[in-house]
Order: sequence, then C-alpha cells, then structure tokens
Amino acid sequence: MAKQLIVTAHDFGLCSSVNDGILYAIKHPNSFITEIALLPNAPGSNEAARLASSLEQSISLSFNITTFRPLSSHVPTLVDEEGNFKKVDIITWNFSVLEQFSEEDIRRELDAQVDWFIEHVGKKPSALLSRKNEHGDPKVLIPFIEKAKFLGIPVRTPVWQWKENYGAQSYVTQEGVPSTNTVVLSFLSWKGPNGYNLEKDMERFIKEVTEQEGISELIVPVGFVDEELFQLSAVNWERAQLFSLLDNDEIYRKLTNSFHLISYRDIRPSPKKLKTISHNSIHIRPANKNDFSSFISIQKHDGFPHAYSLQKSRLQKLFDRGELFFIAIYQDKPIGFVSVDCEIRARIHFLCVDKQYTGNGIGSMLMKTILQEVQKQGYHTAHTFVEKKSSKEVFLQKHSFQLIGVYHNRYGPNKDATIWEIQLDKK
Amino acid sequence: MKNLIIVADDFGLTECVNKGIIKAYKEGVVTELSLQLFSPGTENAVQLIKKNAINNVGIHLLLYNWLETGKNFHRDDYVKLFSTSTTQDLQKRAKREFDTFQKLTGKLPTHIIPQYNIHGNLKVLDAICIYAKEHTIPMRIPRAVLIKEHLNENYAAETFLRRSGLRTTKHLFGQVLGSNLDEIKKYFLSNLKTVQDGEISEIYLHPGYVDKQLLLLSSLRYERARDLTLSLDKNFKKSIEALGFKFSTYTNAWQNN
Repeated sequence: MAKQLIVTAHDFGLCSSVNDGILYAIKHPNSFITEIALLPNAPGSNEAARLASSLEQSISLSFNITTFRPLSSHVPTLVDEEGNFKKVDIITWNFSVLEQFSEEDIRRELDAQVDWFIEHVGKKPSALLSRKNEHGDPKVLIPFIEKAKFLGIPVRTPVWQWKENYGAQSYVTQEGVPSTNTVVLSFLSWKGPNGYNLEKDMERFIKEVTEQEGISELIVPVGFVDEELFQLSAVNWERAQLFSLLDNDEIYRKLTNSFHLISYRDIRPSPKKLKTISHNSIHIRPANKNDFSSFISIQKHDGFPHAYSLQKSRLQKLFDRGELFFIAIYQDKPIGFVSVDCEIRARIHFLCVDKQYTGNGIGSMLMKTILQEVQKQGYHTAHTFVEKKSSKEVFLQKHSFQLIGVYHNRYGPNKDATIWEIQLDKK
Repeated sequence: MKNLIIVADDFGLTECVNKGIIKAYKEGVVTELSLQLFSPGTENAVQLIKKNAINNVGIHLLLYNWLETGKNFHRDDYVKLFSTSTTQDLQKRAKREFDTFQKLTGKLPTHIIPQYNIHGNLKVLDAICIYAKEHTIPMRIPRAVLIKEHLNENYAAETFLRRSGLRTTKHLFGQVLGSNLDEIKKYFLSNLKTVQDGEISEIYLHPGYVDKQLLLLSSLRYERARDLTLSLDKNFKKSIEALGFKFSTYTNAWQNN
C-alpha cells in the first residue's frame, strides 16, 4: 500500500485573508489538502467556523494556548496582566512560560476550546492538534490524551520543536490513541538558485517522507497575504507559496501518485473489540515435546513478522538446555505460549498469541504465569528485549518493565532492540 | 558616495499590490515607485500618490492596454508584438502611456522603466528615447531580461542608451523568483559589495500583498509578499548602509554624486 500522508492547511481562523486563501486552495482542482486545522480563539475564528460547518473536509481543532486570549473565563496561570496568553518564541523555541501553566487551567481551557468547536462547527473535531505542538509537553499532553479518548478521536504525534519526542510519542501509543508517526512542517525553503525549483524539491520531499515509517503529516500554512496577517504572524509571505504549487499540474500528479492522501477522519479509532473469552475458560499449563507443532503454528499466526521461523530441531535444543515453556489452551485448542531462558539469568524469550484471539488479555495471562515461575525459581529480576518502537514495548511498559538499554543493530542494520527489566520483589 | 535607488515595480497592477507598495515606500527601503497605466489598479494607485503626496513616481511602460487586452502580456506576446510592429507603431503605444501618465498625475514621470526590460530591444528603445530626450528623463539600464531570467548584459542597447546622452544607472540588481529569503539577501549584499565609489545602482523589487485577484492576474504571487518582507527588513537596510550606500531616487542620485 502506498505511504499514507495527511496534508493539513494550518491556521484556519487566523484572519480573513487566511480563511479566504484556504477556501481558495481547497476548491482548487489540484488541491491536495485533506485536513483543515481550525483555530478557536483568533480574530477570524468565528468566520472560519461558519465556513467550516458547510465544508465536507475533515476539520480538526488546533488547540491554542500561546497566542491571543483564552476562551475560558478563569485561567490565571495562562495569561498576562492584559488577559492575553503568555508569549512563547518559536524562533528560539523558548517555551519556558509553560512552566507557569497549571494543568488544571490547561484542562479548563481545553474544555472551553473543544466546546466552542462543537457549538460553532456543529460536530466534534476530526482530531486534536495544537498550534505549535504544545502537547509535546507532558503537562499539556495528559489532558490532551484524556480528551481525545473521551471524544474518540486521534491526535497529532506530540513532537517537540517539530523533532522526535519519544516519551510523549510512546505515551500516545501506550494509551491506545491513534496518531501520526511523523510530521513535516511545510516545504519551508525551496532549494535551487535562491530557492526556486519546485519539481526537484517535490522529488526530494517525496523521497524523504516515503522513507519515514507509518503515517506522516504535512502541515502547510496557506493564505492570502494582507496587512492584518503581517501584524498577526511572523509567517506571512510564506503562506502564499502554496498557490504556485497548486497551479503546477506536474507536482499534483507526482504527489497523488506517490502518496495515499488521507485525513484524520480516516484514522479514528475503531470501536473496542469485545472481550468474548472469559479468562476462566483459558487453561495455562507447562508445555512438553508434544506441543512443538502447536508452537510453530501459533508463531506463524501471531500477526508479527519474524526474522526466523521456529523449527522442531531448534525447539528441541532449547528444551534440552532447560528453557521453560507454558502453553495456553482454549476449548482444547492451543492459542498461545511463552518461554523463559534461565541459563544465565531469567530472560523472557518467546511470547506469542494466535492473532485470532488477541485483545483478550491472553498475552498478559501468559506474562503473569511466566513471571511467577521465574520468581519461584529464585530470580529477583527478569529481562527481555524487543524491536525498538514496536507495540511490544507498550506491552512491556504495561507489565511494569523498565527500559534499561538499547541493543544496537540486533535485528539487522539500524534495527535496534530495546532492553527491558522487571524487579520481581517489588511486585 | 554610492547611490542606491530602490524601485517598486508594478505600482497600479491591483489594489492589493498598491497597498503593499505604499507600505514598502513609507516604512521600508523603497525610494521610488513605477506606475503602470491602463491596469486594474491604476486609478487606485493615482489616488494613493495624491493622498500620500509621493513625488518619486516614474512610468512602468507596458506598451499595451490591459483594459483592451483583458490580460497581461507575457514575454512571448512581446516578442510577437515587436516582430509585427514598426518603430512608429511602438512610439504611438508609448506616447499614449506617457500622455496618460501626465494627465493622471499632473507631472512628468521621474523615470522610464519598461516592463520586462523590453527596451533591451533596439526598436523599442529607439521609440522610447524620443520622449525621454525631449523631457530629460532617466531610464532603467536595458539589460536582456526579455530572453532570460537573469540580468544579462546587453551591449548594443546599453551603448545605444549611453550614446543618446540619457541617464541610467551603472548597476541593476534584482531577484524575482525564489523562496529562500536569506539566500536572496545574501545575493543582493554580495552584489552590492562589488559596487565602486561614485557608481549609481538600482535594485528593483515587486512588493505587494496577495489576494485572489492577484492569483488570476500575475505569475508573481508570494514573491510579492516576500519582497514586502524584504523591504521592511531593518537588518537588510542596515547591512546596505554598512556597505556605504545612500538611499536615493532617480531624481537626486546624480545630484548627490
């Protein structure tokens, strides 16, 4: 499948010229904008919301707590003496005023901005974004995620300074809120002689973004330029650059051929899988040699790619070396297994659940069983390693494993493993 | 002394462009405006000249009437026009614009700056020189931008102009396209560094705001807003002054020297 890309028009609501420019751009026959980020508290917000209510596009909320005035009445930690939000500096990226913000006030303002959106646009936002990605700060992130879960909508990946921000980004994954993986801020400066070679730059952009994993988002500032805009924003003339791109058919063709253009609406969380299997109906027992073919079959069907497939000869060796295996049985059918290698110290080696039965807590049951066994054997800690930035890390965090290191190139060039450890005594 | 004239081209294109040019003139480094006739924003431009009592206004010669053609002339249109017109035809077109300029502003133009440097074409230059000589009006140096994007030297036209005794600058710098503002600033400053004492230079800019009307009328869009930003850039201004330049106009640059 082609690489998925969300293209977001930034700052809808900033002022009339920006609103008009965005409308012009989305109606252009070569428009590749899929998402519109609406500002709730800017001079043109009410006008933009009126326009948005009749648009078919996916409209997200661009939470804004660092420019203009709050929508809620009492948020003393967020504002200066004149009642404006305390200022940040995007050039030096001085966001130190966030230190003074109380989480309670952030939460109150977030409620007010979301309420404003629903009231004025007539529907819930397609996603929660923040104007300068303030939600890369944990103080903003936590209320943000709560709200996104409550509304059942995705969030933009919480980068900081538009760069990777692992702690916050993994928190979003861990909380199960759908999100993007990377975000690219506009095309910034086109290269070429003093910056003008649209075709070449587009090729470079496509190459760079295609190499990124997961869903990417491109944020484009769009707008007509007038005096008001010059007063409101340091990003002014740049907003008119998009029009030159739109009028270029070749660029439109390249973009649409290279990406599957989607919106935040397309990554809304699906309704939760119902827990259909009662834990009482699952039986976990120590495994023996007769279970080898079950292990091989479960590994094939666990939904993860594997560097190598289990074979009977390999399993025999592990068994002979003393590796302990447990198997989960549901209605006489083996559906999962776990193992620990205690040769030197306790290392959780395999944990697989048949994909058909995932989401029922079977992996957690297997993990608990094996940790009890490790403790019984007299170990105070257990460790394991998994692919870096995989959902397996989230699973380990949930089971109180701590990240203790990185195993470079464990799975091949640039494919690192993260090493995790759990203290069993503290349980 | 090094004199530098900074001209805003296309005054009169649209109201939105006019508004940006006025800001660049009043608050920025622009010293001289170049007014185009028979264009969608001409009337508004003339009002702005009077309202703000601006004296340094020259003519941005188009040789076509926008209100008749309904569109602007591209390079190809000019090439076609020149191959099918006599000097007399071109002279007539030019005169219509000169007369209208005087009628609307009540003054003579302070300079003659033909669109796209079309006076790099000798037939056009010949046609314009008659009027310029009659009223002693300086003219932009006729570099060869009609053929290429770059300001290539144009020996024949430049020599022709010099021999006619009309005033023109020694240097002309411009950077129309480009989205890397830092690089554009560097380009201007490195070129200005090469200017010798006693020489007169011109920089041309296209400041303006951007609206829907502009998108329909012109291929220069964000570039205008970019040039407005450049005009208002205090550091850019300081860097030019630090190179020993004095900001001048087509009227006083030769007196200052």
